[in-house]
Amino acid sequence: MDMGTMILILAGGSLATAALGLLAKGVDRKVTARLQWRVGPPLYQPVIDCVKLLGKETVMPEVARGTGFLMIPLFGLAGACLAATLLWAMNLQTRVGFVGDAIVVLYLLTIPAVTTILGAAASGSPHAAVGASREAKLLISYELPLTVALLTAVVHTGGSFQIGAIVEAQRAAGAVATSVSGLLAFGVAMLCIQAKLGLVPFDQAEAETELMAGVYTEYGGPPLAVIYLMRFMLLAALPILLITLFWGGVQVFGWAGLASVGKFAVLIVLITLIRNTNPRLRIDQSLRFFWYFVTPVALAALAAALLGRAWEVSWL
Amino acid sequence: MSWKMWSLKRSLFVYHVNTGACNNCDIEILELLTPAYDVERFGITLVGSPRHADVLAVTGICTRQAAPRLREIYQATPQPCVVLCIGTCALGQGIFADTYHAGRCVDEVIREVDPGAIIAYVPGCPPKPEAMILGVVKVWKKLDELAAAAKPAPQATPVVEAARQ
Amino acid sequence: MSMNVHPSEPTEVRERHGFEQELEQPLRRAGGIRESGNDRQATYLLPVDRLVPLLRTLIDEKQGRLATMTGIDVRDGTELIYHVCFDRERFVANLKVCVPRATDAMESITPWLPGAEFIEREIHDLLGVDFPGHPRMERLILSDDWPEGVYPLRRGFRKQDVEIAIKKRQV
Repeated sequence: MDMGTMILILAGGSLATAALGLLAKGVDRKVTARLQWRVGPPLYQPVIDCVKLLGKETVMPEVARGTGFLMIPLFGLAGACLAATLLWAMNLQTRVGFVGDAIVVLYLLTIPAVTTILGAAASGSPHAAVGASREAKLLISYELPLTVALLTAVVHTGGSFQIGAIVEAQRAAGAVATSVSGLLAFGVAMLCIQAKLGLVPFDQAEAETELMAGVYTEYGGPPLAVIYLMRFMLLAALPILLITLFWGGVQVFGWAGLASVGKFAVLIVLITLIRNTNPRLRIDQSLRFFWYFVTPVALAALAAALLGRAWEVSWL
Repeated sequence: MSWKMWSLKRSLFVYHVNTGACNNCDIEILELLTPAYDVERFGITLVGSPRHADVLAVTGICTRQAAPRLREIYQATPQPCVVLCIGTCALGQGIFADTYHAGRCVDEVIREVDPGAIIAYVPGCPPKPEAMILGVVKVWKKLDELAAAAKPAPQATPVVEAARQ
Repeated sequence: MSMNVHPSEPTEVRERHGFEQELEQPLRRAGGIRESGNDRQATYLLPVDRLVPLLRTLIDEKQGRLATMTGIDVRDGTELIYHVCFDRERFVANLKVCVPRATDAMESITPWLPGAEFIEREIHDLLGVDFPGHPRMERLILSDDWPEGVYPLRRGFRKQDVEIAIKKRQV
């Protein structure tokens, strides 16, 4: 594949994810408003927010490390773009891909969190430093159950680490979430992506009412627009990852395409509902939650999937 | 109207600064976000850092203690930004003008840093939420005026010049 | 025992007086004089050096709680009032001392009552009473550039004095 086609595919995937993410964030704000008996902003509000931020001047604290401070959000955006494009490609063309690309996608999806920590450290602000330490603690707590959930999906669909193979197996034999292990793993993954997206109850890194803006305190103007775009793209990419691994994969055309849109909408509304009905946890509470509750459930799901494979029981 | 002004009017991020207020005006600001008035449908939200903000909603008389901090917060806010002085205390310190800790007024302190700052005044003790919404509308109209004043006169395009010769 | 009993009503007076009886002995030992009061609160005037032991007795033994300290500038000194609340008995004892202008110092209670740290710093800022023994006597509520020696709540304070003192310090 030559450079031109690759750039075209990357651009297409990134634009599609950006558009979907902006729409998803608009839906999230609208549903939040309706839950609070308000009208809420229009669905295209996140677009206006990003455009407005691009038109403001860039401010930086004196103590910040200039080049790193401004470049780091771009790396985070690049990670999100790459992961999202890979997901789109594997879903639409299941033959394309390589063994282990599920691991690659998961790895790329950790880049935004790491760049958040680095950017907060580069800004030199005490609020950002506290937020960065909390984000780092969260990172080591939710990555393990998410990986175990991925392993469960892999084991259930026959043991291939290729996303295309997982999708094909689900189209042939039914979604992973229809089995016991798959359902458990799906629940675990939902909680993990709530933490990955930095949403209540796991938004200790940003913590509006406690830490000013936490990790993003010192960012303003166009860098903040890049960070917002990165977060909105994650809001689109992570539900797509969940649908790919557990709910039969994403399709674009025909009835299956409409069903995919419906699945995506259900996940977004679920994320919003969890966000609006829960208080924020303390960082030690969420660490305990992930290590002592979520990880054992994920391991139980993995065990159930392995047993199902070994004893040829399809519903496990 | 340029895309910057168009998007700025429809998405105002507000950062609330209390420079020594009794909290009455602060509660009224929060009231704007409740379902009764719901200003979020106009795109107005509260943000946690002045670096994210377009509007500084300032309450309080600006005590001597708060003055250097208010200057730094204003300098941290990226341009274009607007200062909204809410309440009698923020306008001219009200009945607290002669007290021992009242330094210079909010708008004097801001104009020390930026003589061309855009400052809107919302009187009241505390101002009704309707008065604060009227303040935001005045800000929109002022931003329109500034955008219209800054727009350069249309210049002749090179095609027209070539045709004239 | 309802909280809405009007102080002039005769109900429960005997019980309240009963509690005041309990305080009478430590107060007499400290040389306190009862200035005024009713069945809910009473004000006692004490010599400056006898206040802290009495306060220790009231707080440690009689389950009192120091609510706050207030002060006012009188010509020859500063009157400080320590408000001690006895919540279970619904009684407040106001212990008044007059700190003379010559010394302007009152023993600090922060070493054994850490919650009094901010209260004493505030009184020092506004009234100029020093509290030797205080672990961290710094500016609390006045601005960082406020000049030393200018106390806003003293009689005779003029707002111009602040600017004059700042200019003098710069020169």
